[in-house]
Amino acid sequence: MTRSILDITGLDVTFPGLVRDTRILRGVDLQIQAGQILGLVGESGSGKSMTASACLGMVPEPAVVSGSILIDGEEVVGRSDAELNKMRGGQVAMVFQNPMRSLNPFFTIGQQLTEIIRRHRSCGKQEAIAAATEGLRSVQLPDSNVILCRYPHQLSGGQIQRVMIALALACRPKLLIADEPTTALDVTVQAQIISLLYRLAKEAGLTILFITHDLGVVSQLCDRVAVMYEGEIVETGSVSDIIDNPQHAYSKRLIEAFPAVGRGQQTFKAQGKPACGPSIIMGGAS
Amino acid sequence: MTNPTLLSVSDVRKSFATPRGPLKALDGVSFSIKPGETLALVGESGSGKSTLALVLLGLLGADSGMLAFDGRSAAPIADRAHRRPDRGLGIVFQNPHSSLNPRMKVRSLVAEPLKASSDLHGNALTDRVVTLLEQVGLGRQYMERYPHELSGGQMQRVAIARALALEPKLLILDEPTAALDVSVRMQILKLLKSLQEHHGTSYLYITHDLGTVDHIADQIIVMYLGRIVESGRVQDVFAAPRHPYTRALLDAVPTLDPRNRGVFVTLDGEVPSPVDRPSGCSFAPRCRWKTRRCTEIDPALEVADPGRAFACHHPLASGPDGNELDH
Repeated sequence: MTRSILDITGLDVTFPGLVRDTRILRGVDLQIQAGQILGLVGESGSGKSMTASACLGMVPEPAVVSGSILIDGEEVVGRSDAELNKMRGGQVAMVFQNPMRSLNPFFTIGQQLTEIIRRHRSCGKQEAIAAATEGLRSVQLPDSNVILCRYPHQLSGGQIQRVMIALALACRPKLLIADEPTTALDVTVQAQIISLLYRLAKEAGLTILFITHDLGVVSQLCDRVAVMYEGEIVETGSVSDIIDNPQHAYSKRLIEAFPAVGRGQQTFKAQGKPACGPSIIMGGAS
Repeated sequence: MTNPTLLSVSDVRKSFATPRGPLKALDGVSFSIKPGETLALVGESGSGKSTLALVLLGLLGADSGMLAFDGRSAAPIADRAHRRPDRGLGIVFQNPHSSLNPRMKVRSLVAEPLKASSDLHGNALTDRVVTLLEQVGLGRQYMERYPHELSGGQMQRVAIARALALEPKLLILDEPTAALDVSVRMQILKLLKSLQEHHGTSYLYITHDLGTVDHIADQIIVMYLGRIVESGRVQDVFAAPRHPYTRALLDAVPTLDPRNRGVFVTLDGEVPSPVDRPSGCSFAPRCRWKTRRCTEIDPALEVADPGRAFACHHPLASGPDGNELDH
């Protein structure tokens, strides 16, 4: 269990400017062990998504990337596009924030899923359809035959996000990067997607880098947390370390800003019950 | 009057014609808001929350229903459409990126409603704009900026200043914090709360995130497929939800307690299409306590205690039923 699937050391991303260069990432160090879920939290502009792009070798021009990103032992920084294309999908895959924008509206789900599968596995059409059906089943979309014939606009946000996860997992990557995958969804659907990711990690041994600004999701899902602020990792640790004993000012601010059901977050903490705890206690007081 | 209400609507219905038959977006919705009070309207996408906001503003004509606002007598709500918008009603939309004109400076964005319905001009107008901006925590230096030069939180502040310009009695907040960062979210809610204490404005707070509701709201209405399934005071509803759907929404809110890790109380499935509404209780297909009665008879909204109502055949009691979900 000591094998690192993702090992980032001293990652720097700098955009050259006319007057001065802008360092977006400043010496980021990050490790995730196989089968673990790491939550990367921070506000907009802190560099979370840039870290994710760097892992896929997708940092936009003309940025200069230095440092090292090892995905299952393979270096990403400095690779050619052709080599990166082989790694993407096979080693590392990504699920984006807005599922409606990440699928092509002109093609059916089946066309888009089988295209990916055939491209990476170089297999026949029938085999690809079978794999797509299997993929949809693994993300708990039961009527896979119906879904395959649908266009993206015919599905709900939650269904599309499941399809995106199926797409990302189609080539069995070692690392899944999920960039705020539930921000655009209803709370109830968010809970479903999070529980799906949790199961995939715990049952199928998937390693997940989960990017979010919602500490609540992190504490439900993640093994460890890294807090990012202005391009630096300012704090890492287990979820309970960071929530019970935040060191960095930004971590403290994030926790203070967390809206809790039942107002008195402190109260439910003291009782050692979940947020629905007080309602059960008070409701069940008969 | 002993019990003044600012806004009361009764039996609002609105359906859209679709190729697959009528879509009942609002199916007999009634509620009222008192002056200075905040009513939270909660439900998943497709429950009819935003349709209700548009109907109240008169941006969308309703099929039937009555509305009484600001001491006037009740009139058919359908009359509101295609009329001059009511000055007493304002709205803050979900996404300030798309609700603010990118080609207008903050100065003219905030001045626009004032120009349209008052004869303020020149220095008096500028002074009023500055006052409004200061109320939402933005200084004079923001006047000459364009929306793209502002952060999401600052843009939402501009949208709030714009909505407050005509001193509305009721402000509709349609998921005002959904597009914002968690750390900015609380600032905006605090700002709204303090503005309310200052001006006595009533809020209709539309959201699907129950986590923020009790920071701002006094009363709550839970909607499912165009109908109210539960209503009451926020602390009562949160303390003991009677409808299984309210309970599921509460359970879906992530908590900060790592001891809950990997414990997921999820509500299966998604909101069914309002075009083919299930027979009986619309929530029955997703409900874990459903019986045959639920799939046959549609439960009516019953008033339990004063100010508390729910539509369920088997309400979660303050007893064994309520504990069943406890892990």
